[in-house]
Amino acid sequence: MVMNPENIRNFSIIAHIDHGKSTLADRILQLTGAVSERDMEDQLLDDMDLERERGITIKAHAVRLDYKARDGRPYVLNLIDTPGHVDFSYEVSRSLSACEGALLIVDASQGVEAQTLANTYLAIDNDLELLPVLNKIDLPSAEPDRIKEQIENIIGLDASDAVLASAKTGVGVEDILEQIVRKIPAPKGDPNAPFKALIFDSWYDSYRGVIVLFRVIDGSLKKGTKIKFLNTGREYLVETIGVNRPRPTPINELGVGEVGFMTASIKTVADVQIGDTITEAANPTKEPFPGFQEVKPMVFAGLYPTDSAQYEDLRDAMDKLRLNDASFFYEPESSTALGFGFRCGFLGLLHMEIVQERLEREFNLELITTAPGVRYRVTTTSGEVMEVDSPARMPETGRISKIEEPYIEATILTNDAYLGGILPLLDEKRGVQKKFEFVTSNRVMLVYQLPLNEIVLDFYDRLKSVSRGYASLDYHFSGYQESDLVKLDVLVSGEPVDALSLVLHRKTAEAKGKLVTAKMKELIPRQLFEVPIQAAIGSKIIARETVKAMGKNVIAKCYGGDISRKRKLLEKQKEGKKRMKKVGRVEIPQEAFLAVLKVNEG
Amino acid sequence: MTSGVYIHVPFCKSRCSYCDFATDVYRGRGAVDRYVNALVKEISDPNSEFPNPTSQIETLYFGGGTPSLLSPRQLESIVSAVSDRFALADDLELTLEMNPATVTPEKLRAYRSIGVNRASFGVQTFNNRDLKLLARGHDATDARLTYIHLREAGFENVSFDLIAGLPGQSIDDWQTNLEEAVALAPEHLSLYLLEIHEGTPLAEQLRSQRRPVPDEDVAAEMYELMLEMTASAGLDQYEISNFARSGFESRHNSKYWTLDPVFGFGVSAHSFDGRERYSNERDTNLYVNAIESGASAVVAREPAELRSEFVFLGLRMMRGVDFAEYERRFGEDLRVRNGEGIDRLSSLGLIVADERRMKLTRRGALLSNEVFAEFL
Repeated sequence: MVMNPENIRNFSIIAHIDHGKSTLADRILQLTGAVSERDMEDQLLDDMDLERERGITIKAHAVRLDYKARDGRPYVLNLIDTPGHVDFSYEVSRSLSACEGALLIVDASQGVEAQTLANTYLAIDNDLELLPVLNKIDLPSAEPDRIKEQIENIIGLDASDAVLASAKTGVGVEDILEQIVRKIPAPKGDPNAPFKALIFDSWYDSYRGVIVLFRVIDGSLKKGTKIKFLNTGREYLVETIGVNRPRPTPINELGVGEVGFMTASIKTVADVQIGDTITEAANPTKEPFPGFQEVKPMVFAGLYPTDSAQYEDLRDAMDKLRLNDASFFYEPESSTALGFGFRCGFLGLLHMEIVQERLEREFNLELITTAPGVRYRVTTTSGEVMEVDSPARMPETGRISKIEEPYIEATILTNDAYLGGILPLLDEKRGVQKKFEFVTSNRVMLVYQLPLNEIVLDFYDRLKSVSRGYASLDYHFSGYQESDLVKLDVLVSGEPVDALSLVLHRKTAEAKGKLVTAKMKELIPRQLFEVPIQAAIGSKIIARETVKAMGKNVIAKCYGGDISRKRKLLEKQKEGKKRMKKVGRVEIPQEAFLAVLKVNEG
Repeated sequence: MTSGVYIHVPFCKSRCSYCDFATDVYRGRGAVDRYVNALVKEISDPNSEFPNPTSQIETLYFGGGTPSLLSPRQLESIVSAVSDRFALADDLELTLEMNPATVTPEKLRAYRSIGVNRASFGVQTFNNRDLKLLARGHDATDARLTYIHLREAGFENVSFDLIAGLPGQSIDDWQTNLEEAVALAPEHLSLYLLEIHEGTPLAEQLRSQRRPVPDEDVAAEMYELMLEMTASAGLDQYEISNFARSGFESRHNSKYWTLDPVFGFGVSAHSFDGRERYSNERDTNLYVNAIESGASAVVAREPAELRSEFVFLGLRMMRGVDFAEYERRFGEDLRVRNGEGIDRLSSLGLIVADERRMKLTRRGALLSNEVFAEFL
């Protein structure tokens, strides 16, 4: 027996960070009896340590709740919690498309932020019913009327019926549940059509293999069924199906509109693509669920072990992490400066930080990350088009006919008081204004076209500082555009240092070249010979510094007999050199590279 | 092969700010007497580390610390213990290190009559400001007087030390020092570039920026200057830091560089018997206690790394390393073993090599640690 879809409501929660999404989710779980007061653990849905610490959701979750509404009927509510960060916007869109409605949580004092806006548009794109909720209504600074007006002006959503709630005190939570039942449509689907379901997340469990989260569109699924993933074409025998209440609970069958998990001896999450359609192998659906995309990394960086002996450990760790995170790509790379490591692709900067932090924390590794960059599209003089995600692999300047770089469309919401700092920053970052709009009397929405590369360097921190934190940013990829980009090489004694190469706009190249060479000069110890340090674009030198030859290194006295001690001193000195990296015949301590990579990031 | 004997006298009136040697502050004659008794006992012990010295002792060297804090009687008792135990050569070179302001004309004459025929004393600088910085406990006049008294007492082989590259010292300051040194016309000079040792008061002063950190390029220039000035004064450079009139090279110190055996006695003394290196207890009290209780003072013993030591000690001498001698000692050709390194160092202008030998260039001497590392 499957559930009657009439009694199912699938919803998600959209909120800006700190607007109270997790606390509200916890309240809903409590009120519906899914967790008792005693078992309550703060922010139950964010179960990765990192998620709790950062107050963000990285993985999607789904919880099935039983709710007896005021109309006297029992309902099943499926809360699908989505990641809240722009890096994961594809995952967000898939989670949203598994729902018929979403709660739009807005802090009753802070108002609408750019991130809320982006996810709201995603929800509107997916035809979701949006229920505005003003949270933190208990705070003295709450201004529900002003925020309602904002919601209407910025989003164009009728907020007259918005629930005034406080996840902290519990006020309004039941009203939210009632609105979910009354306003969000019941799922529609054909129970007699071939089985069709949407995959919206998966993760790896070391006991059960990959666990797939899905939402049934048509038909129904029982365990033992042979299923097929439409895009990958892979077939599996379903071993278990179940729902999270929030503890995993087995179930016999899942029908139209229901949300649950399954296991099917799937080895890695890379075999399960988010957005793919599941169907029955013997009786497949004709139409896949729309909106599927291959996940594409946007930000690239080299990851190297600080201690080269940890290379194998790093590879094992990456293999294990990838079991759980198919959106992270890596391939071996070697660098004269940093030794053996990996070129990695990430969905965005946050994703990069998360991966690096998990590798270091869960696998006890110490890592060096090269300056993050993007994937360029290069057309060579012979007409060949290639994608280049590492400056070191950029063809020689003479062979390049044009370089295109990824652009984003960024939306920034801020107060007009900070425009004086924000507009010049956008200008410096090569931004092109698409929209400038006062959404309320002092709140401004800016839409800009920006090269992604400018964002991955120091944009966030700069924006935060010029707006004193009162600007929110969201963006999405908008395509490739040709730019006047150059590859800046750093040469030590005439030899290019691969790890320090950068791709950047021609107008900023000279200043950066000067900065990097000056820093290198400080950090390269004097050698037996003079060492020129140059920054070059192609064969043109744009900055130069010189490390003078070593003046002296001599043991003054050598008698007595602590000749063994002197010998050990010399041996120690020699050992120290072995740990240095060699570029040509120049010995450079690893710390020098690290410091320059820091300069490159800034 | 002939051997040498080294005697360590750890006492000093005060501690110099740059010194990291094993030294003890001099607290009067009683403690020194006790130490001298221990020394005599260590030297005389027929069961000690050198039961059967097979060769003659050619050199006897008193280093410190400040050996000139020994009274003539104390010195004599040690010298006679050495001559009772070892066969001394007729032309024994007997060196005593001295500090200005610790010796009087009478004392010097008494040392002379005991057989001390070479004096090596620490001037370090003729600049009173710098002497204060180094906490030497004497001034430039004391040093000049000591020199005169040595000559009056009949010393015909006198050496003294100067240090270049002191914090705040200019090239001109160094030149003034060298001019005075050369004018005094000693038979031998030891000229060092200052080394900063961790844990010394001087290192602390530099770290806390109370003194300017000496510039290594200035030090290199000072080195060049001292090579020129000693050469034109007829003092030949025979080792990285040592200069002498012909025939007055330190025979004792040369033993270290040519891997001759040297037997060391006293606290923190090091010995080399041709194969092994061993060293005595570094703490004076522990040393004395050990000897008094009839135990050995040796705390560490290990085989010498003869091949690398032969090369790096040999290169310290300006005459360099003789390839044929290396081959005779070790049964292989150094130019095969380290061919690449020799080529690299030659091309960098740090050594010159011909058919017979290789030696440091001037620049190689300044960067000698870089050169030596190649042969470890």
